[in-house]
Amino acid sequence: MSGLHEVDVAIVGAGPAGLAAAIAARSLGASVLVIDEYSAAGGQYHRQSARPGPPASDATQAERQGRALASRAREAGVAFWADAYVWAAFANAMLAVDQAGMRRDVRARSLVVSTGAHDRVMPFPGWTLPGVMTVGAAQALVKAHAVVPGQRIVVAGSGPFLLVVAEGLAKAGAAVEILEAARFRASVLATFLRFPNRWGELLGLLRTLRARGVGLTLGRVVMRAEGQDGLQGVVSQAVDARGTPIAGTVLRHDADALAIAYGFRTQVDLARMLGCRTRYDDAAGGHAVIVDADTGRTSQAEIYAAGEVTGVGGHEVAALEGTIAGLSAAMSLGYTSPAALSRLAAARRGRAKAQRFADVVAATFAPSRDLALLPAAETIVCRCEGVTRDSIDRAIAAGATTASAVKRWTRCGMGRCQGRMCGWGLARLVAARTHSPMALADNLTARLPLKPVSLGTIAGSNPPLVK
Amino acid sequence: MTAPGAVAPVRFTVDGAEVVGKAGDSVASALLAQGMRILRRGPGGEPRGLFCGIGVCFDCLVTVDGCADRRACLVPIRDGMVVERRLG
Ligand code: FES
Repeated sequence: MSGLHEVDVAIVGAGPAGLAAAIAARSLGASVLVIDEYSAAGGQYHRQSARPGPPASDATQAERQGRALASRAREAGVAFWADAYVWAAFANAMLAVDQAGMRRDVRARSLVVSTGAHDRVMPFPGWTLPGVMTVGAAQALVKAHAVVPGQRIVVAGSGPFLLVVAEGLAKAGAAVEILEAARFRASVLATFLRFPNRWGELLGLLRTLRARGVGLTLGRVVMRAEGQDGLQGVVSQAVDARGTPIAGTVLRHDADALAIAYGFRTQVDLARMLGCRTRYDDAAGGHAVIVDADTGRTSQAEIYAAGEVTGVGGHEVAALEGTIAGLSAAMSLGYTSPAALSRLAAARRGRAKAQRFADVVAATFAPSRDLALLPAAETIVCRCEGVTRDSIDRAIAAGATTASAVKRWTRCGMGRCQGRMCGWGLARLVAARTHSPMALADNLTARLPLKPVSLGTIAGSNPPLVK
Repeated sequence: MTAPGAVAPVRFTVDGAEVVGKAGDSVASALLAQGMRILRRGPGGEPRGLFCGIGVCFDCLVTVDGCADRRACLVPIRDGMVVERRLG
């Protein structure tokens, strides 16, 4: 074991919220440690190229911003642990960290949880075929590694993220087609018109997609992926507002890659392990940590949360929440500056405004009821354990009314990913079959360790891995 | 020789065969760039590849330098690295 690392404010997750929190807390004089699972800070939104050397000339604005934020934090004296994962957390902000196979323990006086969100997926026939991946996976390949996952790519599911990723894939040279599940009603357009400062962004994106020949179809869902040892094609169907497939609208698309996600799912395992209370909001990513909007404080003393873990709202809301949580955490430890209160007030105003738009986006792309009908009887729902829909149906018929009850019957959600991939789809299935609310059905919880660690790491006896 | 501005090649092996990737690649991205999509087999023997790409799904597990169950989407490639897939 390499001793106990003590720090004023520990921040878990170096995305937009975590970076903003780090800069804010450090600016008041607190010592700050940021722990992040990836090798470069920035999270999914600011994801950096993993290539050595200076940023490429075609680096996106999000990449540049992330690089600038991370170096600003470093220059201010924020400590970063990269490739580091918090696999256990205990009361009073004690964290057990696995950094590339080595155990490190942290005790923080204050903790900011900014663990973000990951792609939300619904199982469907063929979704285990190589070549089918999440939208975030396709994004990471292009941004971090400059690798395009295919030549003909279907980007599908739901949410504004589809457009952003499709743009990146098209710029990298792939032929791209977008299938967006949502249908936009006039009321949505009317709401959007209330946010004129957002028009430019969207129109710019649509213009680039058009110029690159990227087709965009609304109200169409991927029903099935086809291929032998890898993806060869995708079958889609038009759906109505409830997500019910419309007869006579089936299309087949040649594709060697499919990037698919229905928005994001919050990563609340760490916050819940720390005892933070959550609420349920399916449109905003599922379980969301309850915070006091003015401080970012959770139900647990000295534990703050910021960004997508408090409900998916995008990078702007996340960064402002990070500033609020970082300032509040440092101030509660007695650090302050003459400008601290006015900075806090400005961040609160900004957050409230950005949140209003985030709410419109969440409502627009809320997943439809009948998505739960996508998996066929023999479709693997749990990728880790290979559990199929019909065995889940049997568990439900035998009386299971929640995801965790089905897990005990079938092992669905019991594998290495701890239900992070299948949990939402499973809960939707259970909710649809038993007519119960998602807030009750969606109840898988992660267990210790939050992600697999070796016994050597737990004992603290592993030699550090060569990186 | 590497041209100025070009990315340095990284040589490693996959199931005994040499693969050349670029500095900054993960095991998964380097294999995908070569058209190798299959990383392992699932519980029913069906092929699996990169899925979440960010270390969450554990679908991309390979053996790296004798160390089993490393996530191919997170592990950066290095010269001389030995990668084995469980395809049996
Ligand atoms: S692709 Fe999901 S963990 Fe690597």
